[in-house]
Amino acid sequence: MADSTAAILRQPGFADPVHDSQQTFRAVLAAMSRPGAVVPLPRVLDLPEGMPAGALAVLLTLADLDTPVWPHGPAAGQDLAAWLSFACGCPLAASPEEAAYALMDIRPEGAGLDPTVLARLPAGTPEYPDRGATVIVAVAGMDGGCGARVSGPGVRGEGSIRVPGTDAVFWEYARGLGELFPLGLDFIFASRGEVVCLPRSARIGEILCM
Amino acid sequence: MSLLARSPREAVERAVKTLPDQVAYGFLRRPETGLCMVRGRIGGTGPAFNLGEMTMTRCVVRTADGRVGYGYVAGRDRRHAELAAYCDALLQDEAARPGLDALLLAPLRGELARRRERRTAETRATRVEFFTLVRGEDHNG
Amino acid sequence: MYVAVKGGERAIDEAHKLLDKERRGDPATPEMGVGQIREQLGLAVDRIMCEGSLYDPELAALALKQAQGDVVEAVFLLRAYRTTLPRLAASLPVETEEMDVRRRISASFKDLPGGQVLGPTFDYTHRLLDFGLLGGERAADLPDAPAPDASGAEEEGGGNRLSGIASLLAREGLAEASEDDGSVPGDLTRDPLVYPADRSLRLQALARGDEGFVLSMGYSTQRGFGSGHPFAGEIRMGGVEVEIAPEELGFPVALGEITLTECQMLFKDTGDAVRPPQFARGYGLAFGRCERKAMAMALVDRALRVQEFGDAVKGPAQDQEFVLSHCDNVEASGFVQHLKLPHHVDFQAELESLRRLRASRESRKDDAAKGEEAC
Repeated sequence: MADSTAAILRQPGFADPVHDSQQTFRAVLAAMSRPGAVVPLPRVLDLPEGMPAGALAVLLTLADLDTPVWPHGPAAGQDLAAWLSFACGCPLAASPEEAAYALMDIRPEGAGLDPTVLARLPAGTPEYPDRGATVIVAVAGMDGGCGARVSGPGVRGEGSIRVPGTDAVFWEYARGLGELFPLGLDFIFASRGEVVCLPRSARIGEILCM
Repeated sequence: MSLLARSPREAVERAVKTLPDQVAYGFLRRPETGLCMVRGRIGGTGPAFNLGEMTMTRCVVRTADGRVGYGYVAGRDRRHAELAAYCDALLQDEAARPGLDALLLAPLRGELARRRERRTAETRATRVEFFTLVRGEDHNG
Repeated sequence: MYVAVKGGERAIDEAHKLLDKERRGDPATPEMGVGQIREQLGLAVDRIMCEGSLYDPELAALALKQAQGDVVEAVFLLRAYRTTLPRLAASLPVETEEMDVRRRISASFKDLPGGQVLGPTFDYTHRLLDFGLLGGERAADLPDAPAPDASGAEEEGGGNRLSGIASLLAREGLAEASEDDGSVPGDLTRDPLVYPADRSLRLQALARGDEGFVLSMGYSTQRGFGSGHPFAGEIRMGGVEVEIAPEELGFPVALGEITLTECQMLFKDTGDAVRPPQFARGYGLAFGRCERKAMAMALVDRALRVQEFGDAVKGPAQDQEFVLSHCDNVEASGFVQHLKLPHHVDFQAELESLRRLRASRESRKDDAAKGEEAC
């Protein structure tokens, strides 16, 4: 085992796996049922600066042996991949097409969400729309950034969602995905201590990139 | 690791207690009980199929001096997994191995072998020894 | 349609109390410990593990105690429990050829390498009730253990290892070969069964299937509703090591040993343009000591391979949708027992419809009578 990998493996997951993951699950559920609402994560993982603590807390909660995870971009570093398979016990997907969850880190300037990669993730089938992937996006914070007006289940009237690090291309793409409903992708954007969600049921209106 | 998993927890506990130097350790992964899907082979030698699950418990510890030990045991005994992980961590120290082998592993190995021998003897006693009756031949000539 | 009805809560609480009382029986008799059940009702425990699809003797014994000896209810309890645990690993395929054998017999070969090893079996008992057990056993009645036999322990890993008959025959080309092609097996606990199901899924379903159902299906194939005459090529029971290969280690480790029963049935196959004449195989594998189940499973496994062998379809045991959809006793019991749920609204609707039909029948009769009078 490489020393750096060994070092990363020493980074702890939840201190109390059962209760911490239950409470995190509750927070993700709340965020998922209120598209655009920013919900604090109850447990902030004590991980080094480089690791996307919020997104990893969500994965610790949701991922297991039955859910292949596709780490993409900066998230695909070998050490992080090793931590994922150790802490979550999840297999790493060999390709985006096999993923149940995708982990994308858009904290670095200009990383962005690439629609050509998103298009390769499974969107479910008419018989099993639930097999669409969930995209967990690590973001730098919850202030500003591009976004869109959203409506639909969980939104009274019309609301809005903004995510730093996203661009108009992504929001156009997400709006297009709406036509596939009930197929599609669900998005969980996680900063170090907060989450905001864009479930496939959300209808995307005007794109806000100013 | 196989020996630690196959030995009863009480036996591992007893063996660990005999060690002169106990090392402090913490958990990297607390003992956790879950399932293992047991796979068989179609026709005994062919492709895999899922037979059914079994309970298992796993644990990862790190000793104060930085050695990482893994424990995986059948069943739901968290302490057993913890002990297995602790022993695995101790065994990472090449220098300490001969001593540990004598104090920790040898008694477990012996106990397991005795259990095996007993079972083998019981089983072998039920082996059929066929003897063929001779008939239709002239025994006098 | 089901309508939620309130008001039964107190009655349900009382029913649970009564159930508890029934379970305990007469308090003047000693309570059974889970350990006693595990050790002394081992075959029931094994059957519960097999059909509950969860190997854990202590939990299976607990389930049997809680279910008052109702095996199907105990299987249900075990299945419910397993849903509360995360799956941490899938094992490497167990190697039954490496089994530490406690029983191994063949009805096809008398003199097989390693011999016929009877092990603990009911086969040669006279099925006479042993009234000696009524009064409790005395320690002196228990058989002596034979002297330890170290000859086996010198071999790799010790124990009693015997090579498999079916693979010996396969090596000579007399039985169909069964080789690992590295394919990943389907898992019906994760993905719903879609027909036609491949052999890995069929074996999984049969392995957790109800013993009574699988037995009857197997029996039906012997009575002409299936595929040819079976020979019990080999039946073996014993301990098999389970290994996993955790990602974080990168090498396999043993979790421990479990008891399995395996059956290789042989069926004459006269062959065709592709297949040479040889013995086809039916395969059965079960948790614990479940010999009847493993044998029946092997019969049904062969019967379900109709497509492969181009068999004439003569019975339900060859219809995989029939067999696989009905072999699970938790599903079967659930669907039959759901009839106890209130169907008040459905029943009202049917009652209403019957009344209307009767009324219209009466009025037709009246009209007919009037018509006859008019003639």
